[in-house]
Amino acid sequence: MASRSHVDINERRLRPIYDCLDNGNNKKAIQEADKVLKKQKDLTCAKVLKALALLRMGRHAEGSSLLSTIHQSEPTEEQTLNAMSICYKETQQYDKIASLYDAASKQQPNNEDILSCLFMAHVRLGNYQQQQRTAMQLHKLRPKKNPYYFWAVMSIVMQAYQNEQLGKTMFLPLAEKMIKKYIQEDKIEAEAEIHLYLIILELQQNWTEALQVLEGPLGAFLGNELHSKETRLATICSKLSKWDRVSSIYKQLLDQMPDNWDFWLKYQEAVFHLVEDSYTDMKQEPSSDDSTPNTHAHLEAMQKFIEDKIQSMQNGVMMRGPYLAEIEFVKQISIRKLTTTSINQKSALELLQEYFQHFGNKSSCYNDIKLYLDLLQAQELDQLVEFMKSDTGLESSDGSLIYARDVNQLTKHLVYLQLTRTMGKHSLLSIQEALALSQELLLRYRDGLQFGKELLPTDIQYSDNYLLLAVHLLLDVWSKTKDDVHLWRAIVHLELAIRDSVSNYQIKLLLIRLYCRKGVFGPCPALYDGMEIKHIMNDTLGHIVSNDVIRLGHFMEAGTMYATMVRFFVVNQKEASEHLMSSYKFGSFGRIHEFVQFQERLDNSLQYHTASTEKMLLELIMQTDRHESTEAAADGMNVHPLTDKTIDLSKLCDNRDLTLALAWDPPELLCATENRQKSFEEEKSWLLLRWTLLHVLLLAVMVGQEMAGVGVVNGNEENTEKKSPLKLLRQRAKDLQNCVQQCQGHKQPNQYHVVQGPSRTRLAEFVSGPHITAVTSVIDCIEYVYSLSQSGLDECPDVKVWALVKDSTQKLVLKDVQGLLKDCDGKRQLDSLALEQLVASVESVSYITIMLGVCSKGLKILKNDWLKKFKKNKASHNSQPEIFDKFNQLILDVSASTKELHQIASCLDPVFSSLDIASLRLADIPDEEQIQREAERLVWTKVESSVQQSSGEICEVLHHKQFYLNTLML
Amino acid sequence: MTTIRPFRCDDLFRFNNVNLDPLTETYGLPFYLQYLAHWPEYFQVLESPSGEIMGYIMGKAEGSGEQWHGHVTALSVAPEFRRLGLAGKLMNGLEDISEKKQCYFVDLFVRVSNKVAVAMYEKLGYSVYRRVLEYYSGEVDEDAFDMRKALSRDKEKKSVIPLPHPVRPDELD
Repeated sequence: MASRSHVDINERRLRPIYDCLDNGNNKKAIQEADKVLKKQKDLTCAKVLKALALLRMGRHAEGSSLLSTIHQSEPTEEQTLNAMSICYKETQQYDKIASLYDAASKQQPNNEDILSCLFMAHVRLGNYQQQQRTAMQLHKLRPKKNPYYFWAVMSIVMQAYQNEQLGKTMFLPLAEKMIKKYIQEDKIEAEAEIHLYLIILELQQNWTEALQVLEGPLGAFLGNELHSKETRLATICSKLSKWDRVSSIYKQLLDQMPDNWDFWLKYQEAVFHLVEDSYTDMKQEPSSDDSTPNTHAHLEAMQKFIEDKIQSMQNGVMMRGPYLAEIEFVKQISIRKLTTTSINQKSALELLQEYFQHFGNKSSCYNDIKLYLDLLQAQELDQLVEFMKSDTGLESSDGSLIYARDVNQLTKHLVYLQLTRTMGKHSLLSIQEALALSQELLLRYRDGLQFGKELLPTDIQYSDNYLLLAVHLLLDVWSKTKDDVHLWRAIVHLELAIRDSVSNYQIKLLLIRLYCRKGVFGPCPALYDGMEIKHIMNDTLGHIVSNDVIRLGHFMEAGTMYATMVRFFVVNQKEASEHLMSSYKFGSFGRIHEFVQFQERLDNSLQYHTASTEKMLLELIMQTDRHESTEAAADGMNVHPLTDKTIDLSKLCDNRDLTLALAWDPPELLCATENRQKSFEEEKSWLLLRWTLLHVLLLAVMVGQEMAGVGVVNGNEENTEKKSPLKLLRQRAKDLQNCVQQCQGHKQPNQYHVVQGPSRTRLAEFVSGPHITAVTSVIDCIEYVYSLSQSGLDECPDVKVWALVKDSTQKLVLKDVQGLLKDCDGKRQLDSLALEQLVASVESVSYITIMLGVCSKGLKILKNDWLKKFKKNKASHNSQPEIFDKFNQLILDVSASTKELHQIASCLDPVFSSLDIASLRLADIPDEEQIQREAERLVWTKVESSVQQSSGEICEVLHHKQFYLNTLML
Repeated sequence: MTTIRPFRCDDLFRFNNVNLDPLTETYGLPFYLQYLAHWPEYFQVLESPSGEIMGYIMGKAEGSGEQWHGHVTALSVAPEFRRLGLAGKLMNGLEDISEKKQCYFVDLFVRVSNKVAVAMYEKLGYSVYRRVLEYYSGEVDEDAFDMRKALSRDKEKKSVIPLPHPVRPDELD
């Protein structure tokens, strides 16, 4: 009783501190903690809460040292331990939580709560061996609590995933043995335990045993998930080639759910296996007749089963499953080259026509039929087109336009049009025909809007896909003719359409894509935000903007966008292990390995690494107008250039969703798989180049700090051997040149599918342009200055390093820039290439400035030393070493190049160059209705202000660089 | 025709075509992972023959005594796969699981303005149990209908007798 009231008093005393912490009033929390500690010196928890408040205020050194003192005292009191875990969680020192509870459990080996916290601490670290050990301790302490025992088993299974070889020979047999023991002793209590047993058996491919479990008394534990027992049974039976059994399980399932596609596929697979088996049987028994009764019996039975299902729907709801199953059946027969002479079978063409007739009014019909177009010969494809055309009832023979009567007819017509595009019919059209069809579809689109008058703003217009098709046709013509007028018309149509269908993300996606193609990023942030891209979409959809925003010089927006993307990953990393812990708590053992893999996929995401690298490079450009600010920016980055290993490209995961944008082009034009592969390779090379560049810059900054005698923080490892930043800088510089060497194949920018393809990187510009040479030329200067800082000015050989920097910087200044417009076959077109090159040059100049800052830092120290000596001993040195003047001259030269770039950038600004984009009528859109002319004007305004913004932001950065350079003069 | 199967983590990488719908909320990862860890049988996804995600349902079982019930947390079908009765299919599945778990009823919340959804739930046998004031926050807060359907364990259908007055979100049990 006494101890209980003691705890109550403590709790009451601590309450005000907790309240302050909860309200974010850290200062007051510290005061409250001090107050309590005055009364009660030894109340450890109050000290911890004070440390927490200090950490949250950013007073890390004080907070950490307080914590480490408490840590050493090995506390065991629950509240203290809890509070310390919070501190370590917030500072991401998860290993310390484990060591904390480990020490506590040694003090109190029989404390279940402490042990259980220790187990979870190991889960957070993914330390499976320690998990196993701790779980067994818990089991010994509470032998009647089953979960602890199974935590241990699961921890062993995780070790098997980690080490496949040992898994087979040691871990899985051990895990199996442990569960068998419980089965024999009749101690099994929960479904989760049997699930775990099945996982272990399945990992060992011990299907026979798994089957026995499912069919035996233990199988009764299962059954919470829908049909999970049946499908699991069927999976095991197919592993054991018990096809008869598999087929009957799925037949039963299909009786209940005749529309479940997976069941149909697996049912058919089983029957076809039976057919194959019966062939083999026949060969083994040559005595039997030459006919194939068994084979046909199986096929006929399946066909009858499908037909029965179709029949049974005649008076009820029509389901697509059985109809599609019939087509799948024909496909399988053709793939497997089975003879079907004795079977009365409809042709694929007939079946597809029937399917279109029944389900053409559902938009999903397009995807269904597309799956089976391969079954048809060229002539049959034409027949299908003709059939669909007449079935829609909207294609007249005399060329007059018949509009859809209702949504069903409209949808059916769209399915027909989309399928003909997929068959490649649109590629065959002449320019005039394509434009005429596009015009017709626009009319149909506008007419179709009448069906959507009652729709909510959150709905998508029924006829929007008419518009998308019309736009795709315009883009076809654009690709063929290279005449931008078609692209601008496409943009105008999309801008108009979005007004009537504000929620249609397809329109926004395509607008972003097309604007970026023309170097106009201005309208994109609003479109992107309008899609409400958040959380995991940052990973899967961030690619929509992440390459273009920086390529087109929208630096501010790039900073915002990269920060949002990176935040998602960082927040997720902090929370990731919570779900693993819940899975142990709820016994969802099947999820644990899945969660671990999921986390790995996020941690290794290409988008994550690209966004965080770009974010840091951008910070080095944006937040720097003197060398001190560069050093501050570098120090604030969560990168450890001295200890970080080169990024491992082979581990990267491509999580980009590249199929979101609708495109009905033939597969050979979309090249979806090929484009993804090609783009992934390009992105990886680009990432490596950017990552190396970032490390070159950060190491250079460190060299500067070293010359100034500032202790360089060596990663977060305390006992590693002291590494030299300069040595590593040389290595990274070599790496950078190797990157460029290996990317020689990327000198021309990749072009992907205009609607659905991935966006390209800036690799080509950086590999073929003067950038990398310019950056590496300054590294030689840094080395030179460093050697002087070691040896002194007396040994000051005359070197050419300065001249090289001057030359290569001058090459960054674009030649022959005629502004934004370029003549193309007598037509003036907007040309974003100059903008892209300019942005790259601005970046390179910024990097050069940073590295010259390093040189300046070293030289300033040398100059001070020299001045001191000079004052002491006037006789020996009567003139200043010429190196100082040479450096100053270089700064002036680089500054001059920067000015030239500034000049070019200002010329891009349409206002500055008094260029009226709208009046140029870049796209000679035929005067149509007023509303279209208005939309067109709006597009030009957007283009103008976007280019203006690019130009303005570039000038701003260059302005800062000039200021920066001025501060470097000696 | 459709494949119904349990939702997997990797589906989160591919559900954009469903979630870009403005009425479908994209939650932070912990939300989905918590459901996957705690109520895996209540999180089902629909996949088309060509492999696209068509829609999904997320739910849970909670409450004690006669309040033990299945709850629909999220239900969404991608625009191109609407008008196929898929939402009904997902709801049936959730009701079956709730029956297995011997729940008394299934409930869900829906925006009062979402007439299409309300009508659909009514067709599936749900009725408005009560109105929850300003349940959805946004530029303009919106009320929700708490709709319910009694399961076989609630023989007298006590769980669906409508409340006469609306309630505030903080009065929800």
